[in-house]
Amino acid sequence: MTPSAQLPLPLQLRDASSFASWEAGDNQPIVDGLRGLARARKGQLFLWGQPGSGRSHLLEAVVREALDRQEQVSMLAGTELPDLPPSLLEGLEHADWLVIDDLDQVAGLADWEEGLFHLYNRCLSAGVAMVFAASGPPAELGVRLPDLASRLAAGPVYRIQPLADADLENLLVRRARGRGLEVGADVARFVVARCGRSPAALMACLANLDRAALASQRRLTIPFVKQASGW
Amino acid sequence: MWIRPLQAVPVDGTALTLYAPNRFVVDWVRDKYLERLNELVLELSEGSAPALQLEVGTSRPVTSHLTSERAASPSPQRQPATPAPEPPRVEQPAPARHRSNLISGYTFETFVEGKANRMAFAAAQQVAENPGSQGYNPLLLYGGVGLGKTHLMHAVGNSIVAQNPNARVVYLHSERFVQDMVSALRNKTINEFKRFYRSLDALLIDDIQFFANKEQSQEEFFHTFNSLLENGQQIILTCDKYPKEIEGLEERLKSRFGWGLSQPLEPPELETRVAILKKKAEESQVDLPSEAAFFIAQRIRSNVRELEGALRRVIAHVQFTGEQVDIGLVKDALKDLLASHARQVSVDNIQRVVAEYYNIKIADLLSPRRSRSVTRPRQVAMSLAKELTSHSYPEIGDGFGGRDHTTVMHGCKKVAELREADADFEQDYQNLVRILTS
Repeated sequence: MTPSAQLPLPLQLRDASSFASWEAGDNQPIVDGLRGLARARKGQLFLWGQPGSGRSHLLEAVVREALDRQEQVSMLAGTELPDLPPSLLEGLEHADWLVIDDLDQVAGLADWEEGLFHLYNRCLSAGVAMVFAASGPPAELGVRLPDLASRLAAGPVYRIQPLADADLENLLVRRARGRGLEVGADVARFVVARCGRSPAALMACLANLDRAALASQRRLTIPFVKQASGW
Repeated sequence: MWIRPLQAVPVDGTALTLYAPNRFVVDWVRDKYLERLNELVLELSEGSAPALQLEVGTSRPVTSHLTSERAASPSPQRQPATPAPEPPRVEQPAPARHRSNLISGYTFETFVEGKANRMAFAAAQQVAENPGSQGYNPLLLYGGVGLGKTHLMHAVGNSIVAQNPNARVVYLHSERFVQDMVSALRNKTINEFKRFYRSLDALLIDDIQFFANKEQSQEEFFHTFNSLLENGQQIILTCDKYPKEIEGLEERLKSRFGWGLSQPLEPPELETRVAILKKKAEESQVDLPSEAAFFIAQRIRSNVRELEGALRRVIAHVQFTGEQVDIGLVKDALKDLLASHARQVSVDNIQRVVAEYYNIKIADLLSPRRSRSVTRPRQVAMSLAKELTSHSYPEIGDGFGGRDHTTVMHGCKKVAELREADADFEQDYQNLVRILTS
């Protein structure tokens, strides 16, 4: 470490997951669909996309807005569920929203599938708005209970379209600005061309660059990015 | 992440009750977060911290059909997340009034009748006109998912109530019956439970296959069933298959379910699927041209629920873009869904599914062998490839070990003849279509 280096604090502010901070690109209809669901306060929507495509960001945006409106939300992360008992689904219909991320994680688990099927029915009958997200469309998740699979496809199903390079560059510039960093168009193009083309990969890149820039008190230039990222 | 459903309700200014949706969440929060929550409350309340207690329950009115006095509606009244002024209801005994749970939009008028459901539709209408009449009690509607069983069942219930507003009609899913019974046993209100269910004019229970392996529920349902039947009260049941085929269901229940009238619902044929799309689009005030409706109906064939899901996606697209519906717009709105279907109905996948179904090897389908045990499945696979994919006869021939296109044409013709002449063959063919398209 050089004498001038400043130790970065381990605290990293997570970028707020809101609709405003979502780089929609071709995915504006999804935002519109989710907003429509919030207005109707019933119905369902299924989102799918590759890991890192921004599924969780969108779900968190839905939850954030619902909580701002004083609505109640039952939110589940599929990744945590397989180790827990399906009895935790009981009573979750006493809410305004049911939001489930990473649904593919419980596909094929008979007791979870049946539990989710019953929860779906209870939510439908109680008029709870439902948002599901997974890595693939309902028919390709490996859900074995046909009753559940068909219900997941009963509403609009949206694929999160991968962002075009220009959208990724915009996203990088905007998020960097949110962290107090200026990223020029040439630097944005350079970074996007080299890091994975998913918002999540880009954000990981940005977090690294932010840390490196803070530690060495440098601006984000192409030579600095090259050096900091080892490209 | 699932800590979010906790609902806080102040009690007398000295305590704060946190309601959790179920026992599991209560235990989890108590073990992992209670200490931290107490610290936070102490911090925020500047010294005079209310005592925290965790309970299973909700701050909003419970919507059990046994306890709610609200009129039947698919969307119950909502409550803000702020604590409700009245004391929350955790578990309550059944009052005299009931909630029917009937969905008002599910009527005979909104049901699209077609060849595949004509008999079931007629039987449901008969029951609606003469509930409790012999020969139609119980009415059992069975078939695969998303074919309209629940819709028809509600239609009967709504019709009975329309003719007699005092009729006590209750719809519930079999899971709810089981849960209510478990609560009644726990709360020692089983006699009220029995009285309630046996006092109904019509009891509608959905998806009875979920009674499988729940012996105590089956026992209770058996007695409820007998009591209602003896008194001429109507029972309507739905099931995903013919009840005799359900494993884990007592023989005496299977036998009783068949005492009245059992009617199957089959997947709707193309014309009915088009009619469903047109009707649903009209309800949403979207103009859906026939060619666009045909385009969707030809591709989404597994069940009505998914067909309507696809239409909702198209309607959302229309609302977003403000454009008129045409085939181009439908292709754009459904491109990912169609791509997913295409993955499932590739020639390779058809061969795999058909080989599995007839218990032969994929290699046999592609081989020159001409024994009947291989030829028939091969012709079925070719016919399915022609029907479900956009491949031409020569392309399909290539996919089956380089056969001539005339062989494929002959196979398709043979399959069409057999489907007309042999009901079992037709059933197998429909099963394969269902497997490949759902």
